[in-house]
Amino acid sequence: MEEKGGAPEAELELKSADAEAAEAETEAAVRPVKGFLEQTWDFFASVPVATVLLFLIAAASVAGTLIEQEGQYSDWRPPLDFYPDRYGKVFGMFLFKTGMTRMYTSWWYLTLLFMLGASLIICSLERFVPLWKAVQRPNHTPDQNFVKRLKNRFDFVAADATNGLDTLATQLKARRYFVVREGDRLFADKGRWGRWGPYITHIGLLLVLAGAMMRAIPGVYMDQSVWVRDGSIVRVPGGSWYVRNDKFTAEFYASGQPKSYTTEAVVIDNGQEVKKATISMNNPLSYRWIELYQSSYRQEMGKATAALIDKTTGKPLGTFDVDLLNPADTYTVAGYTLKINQYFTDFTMDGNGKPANASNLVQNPGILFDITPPNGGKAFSTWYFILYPEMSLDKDIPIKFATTKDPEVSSTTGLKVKKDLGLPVIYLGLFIVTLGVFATFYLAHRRYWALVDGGKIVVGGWTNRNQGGLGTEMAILATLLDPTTNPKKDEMEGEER
Amino acid sequence: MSNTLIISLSGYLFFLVFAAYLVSAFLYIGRITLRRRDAKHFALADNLGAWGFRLAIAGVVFHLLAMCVRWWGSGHAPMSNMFEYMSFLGWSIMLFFVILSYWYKLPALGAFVAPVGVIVVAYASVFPTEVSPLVPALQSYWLVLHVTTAALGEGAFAVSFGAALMYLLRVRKDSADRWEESILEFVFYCFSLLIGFLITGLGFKLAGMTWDISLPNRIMHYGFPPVIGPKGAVSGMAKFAGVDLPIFLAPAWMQGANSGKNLNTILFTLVAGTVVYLLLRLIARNPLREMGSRAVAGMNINLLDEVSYRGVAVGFPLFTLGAIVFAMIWAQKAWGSYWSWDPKETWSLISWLFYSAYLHMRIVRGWEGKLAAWVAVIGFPLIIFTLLGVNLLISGLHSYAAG
Ligand code: HEM
Repeated sequence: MEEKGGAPEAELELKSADAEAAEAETEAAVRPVKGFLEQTWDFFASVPVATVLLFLIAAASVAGTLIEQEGQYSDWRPPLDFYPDRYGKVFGMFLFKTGMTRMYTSWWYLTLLFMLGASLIICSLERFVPLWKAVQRPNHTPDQNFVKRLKNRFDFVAADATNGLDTLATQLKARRYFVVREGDRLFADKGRWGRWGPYITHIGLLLVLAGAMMRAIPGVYMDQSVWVRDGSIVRVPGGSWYVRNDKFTAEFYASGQPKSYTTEAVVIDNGQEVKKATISMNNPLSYRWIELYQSSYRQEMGKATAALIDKTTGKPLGTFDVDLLNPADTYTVAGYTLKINQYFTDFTMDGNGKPANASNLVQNPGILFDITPPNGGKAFSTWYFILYPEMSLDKDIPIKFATTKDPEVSSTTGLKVKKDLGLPVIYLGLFIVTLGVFATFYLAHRRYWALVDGGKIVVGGWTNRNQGGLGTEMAILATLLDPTTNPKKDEMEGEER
Repeated sequence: MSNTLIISLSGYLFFLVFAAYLVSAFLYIGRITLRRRDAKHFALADNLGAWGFRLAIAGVVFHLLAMCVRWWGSGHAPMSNMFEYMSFLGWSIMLFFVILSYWYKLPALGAFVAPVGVIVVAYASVFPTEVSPLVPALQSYWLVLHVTTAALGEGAFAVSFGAALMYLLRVRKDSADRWEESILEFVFYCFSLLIGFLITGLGFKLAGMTWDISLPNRIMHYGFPPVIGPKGAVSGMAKFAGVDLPIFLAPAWMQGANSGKNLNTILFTLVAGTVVYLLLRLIARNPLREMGSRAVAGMNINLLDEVSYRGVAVGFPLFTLGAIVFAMIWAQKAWGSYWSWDPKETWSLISWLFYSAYLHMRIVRGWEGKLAAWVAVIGFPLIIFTLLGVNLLISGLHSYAAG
């Protein structure tokens, strides 16, 4: 498959990048056998191959959004149970085995990306030198016929050749052209960056890919989370410093939609408060290459007030405060000694019917008290569920509990702890990609050659994009330099008259 | 002035702008139709075109004004829900249409691109138009930059789509490939579907008709008569024209809670769209591709090709910056991860790769021309799918997701 482009330059001794590359291919074709390395090189340097790769990656990505991906489907079952059920026994297992259920990390998706990277590198290497020659070292005095055969061309009559070329040079300089005079020849060009645009883009993309790949290096990437209660200090995973949550706040609109989640955070390093910041969505805290993101929150229970009640009279014997986040070992109420035997912050029964914690948060506290009554009564043990005090499991004991003041709410903020040293590389890459695409499409590389031919001056123009723009510019120049030979013309219309 | 007053002022402006775009599109269609009749109508036709152009410019200016007024009234950039976003996209399409049709002196573009702008703006008003408060994830300037820049690029892609379609209609011959003929006709059928959906959907909305189906755990609001109900609904929960609805229920294998509602919308779209298509065919007394080909007969093929390339060339940098660069920065700030393969994110990548492939096709001899034009035509539906289809059919974490 051939590539096109740079046609007029192909006629110059200095050929365009594409022509040079094409020629290299023809030369190679004359040689009988190509080595494996050469063949591989040619394969990756080819634009048709790159195009097909881009389409393939797009198609694979489409499949990835249509097949429910592991970790994204809303079903509690593990993949091996879920997929056969969701997509049928054979097809489901096929998807799972081929990695299509974790498309974007599957070996073949990564292979496609890797091939794209290789193609970008080889393509840039292959074309760099020819393009450099063509753009930065242009032939200022090409063959006369080359200029005369250019599609975009005009003549103008000048009494004195040097004078005429000078006027043209002034006009072109005013339009920010870089102008070179050699005898009775003139060369001018502008917008060279436009030609480099695609290469800048490709290099930027390589940086983005490299930045994403950096996470495979140990120590570069970390993705964890911490829960920090109001007022408490937690060591940040992967760091040697601590974070304190002074206060977490969740605000809501009247409609019930969330308005803001914020954490007043303080960084503590070496015992010093070194940084204070309000973390909210879109405003992470960053310290020593680690960033803390607001990602979720939990409401827990703080202080509650409980009463001990005499079962026979139904009268309260006395009350006591329990800090559910940090309970005391023993409490003494009206002569009773209550010693905590077991404390479950989030009470549940495990598979064997034994008490257990559903989470490490204080959401459904249950305390097993060893109770010694006053006056040498018989000691006993019983459960107190702060949210469900009436759940008294033991019938033959003299007392029961009541919760007289519901537990205060204590918030715990959920912070995502993220480190990604590849990020600066990615940002740099994105910046370069942006420069590259804008240079490619918003700058045109325009060139003029002029020579003296008899009594007139012949001006030829060339551009790599926006032919219409060049045409307009040349028409204006022509009229300006010599209105008699080049009267103002009506502009072109797209439709027939 | 109170905020609600300002917002309703912007609502009236939006309506005026929509009317301007609609009339402009009809003037352009009238222009191209007259031109094909007889050379003696050229003067009148060009007059229509000139008025269409003026209206389109007025629409673009007032649309910008309407968005600014809405910003002023709501206190945040109008980029926070589907109505605002689609409306901006419509503006961007009309903006690039005005620029490129002026640049290339190609008013004929108006008959193909202005209707796309009208459809997008009409589609915007199918979504709830109330100002929605900003949820925490959306409170970011990066988000505003992300959606506006991406939508600008998409506007230019829409122009490329229109020009590429004109190119294909222009180079088409009767003896052409049957597949190609059918796909071209299908493009017109899809247009009809959109129009059918918009006429019925907006009709019910303007008539103030909505239907509620109360399930034990939630209430489903329908904008169309609920012929297909959600799982668990019973016939008689709603009524339309005296008929007990729903008649069918969403099939069991569809998992989404909204699948019944979405299927119902698709049913209405298919029925209304097919009616629109048949009507148009009746008027044209020909396959619609035939009508299209006649409209563009005699146009400069190279110019059409150039315009369709130019749309992508102008749009690609903007789309790259908006849909990839700013999107990644925003995702990093909001979620702590610049890329999470969320379906919406993946679909913008797909569109971007697709347009990159288009650009490379154009430098391969033999792949430019017709093949590339097809890619430019398919690119825009991919963009629309990214915006709407992903929410409708595949849901992701983007909080825009319309219920
Ligand atoms: C996602 C991947 C890629 C993107 C976004 C990209 C982007 C671009 C852009 C924007 C252009 C300018 C097109 C034009 O002038 O119309 C371009 C040109 C080009 N690309 Fe790529 N590219 C990608 C991958 C590749 C690969 C893998 C190759 C390897 C063969 C390649 C080879 C080329 C070549 C040879 C040109 C023409 C350069 C010139 O005009 O001097 N591209 N690319």
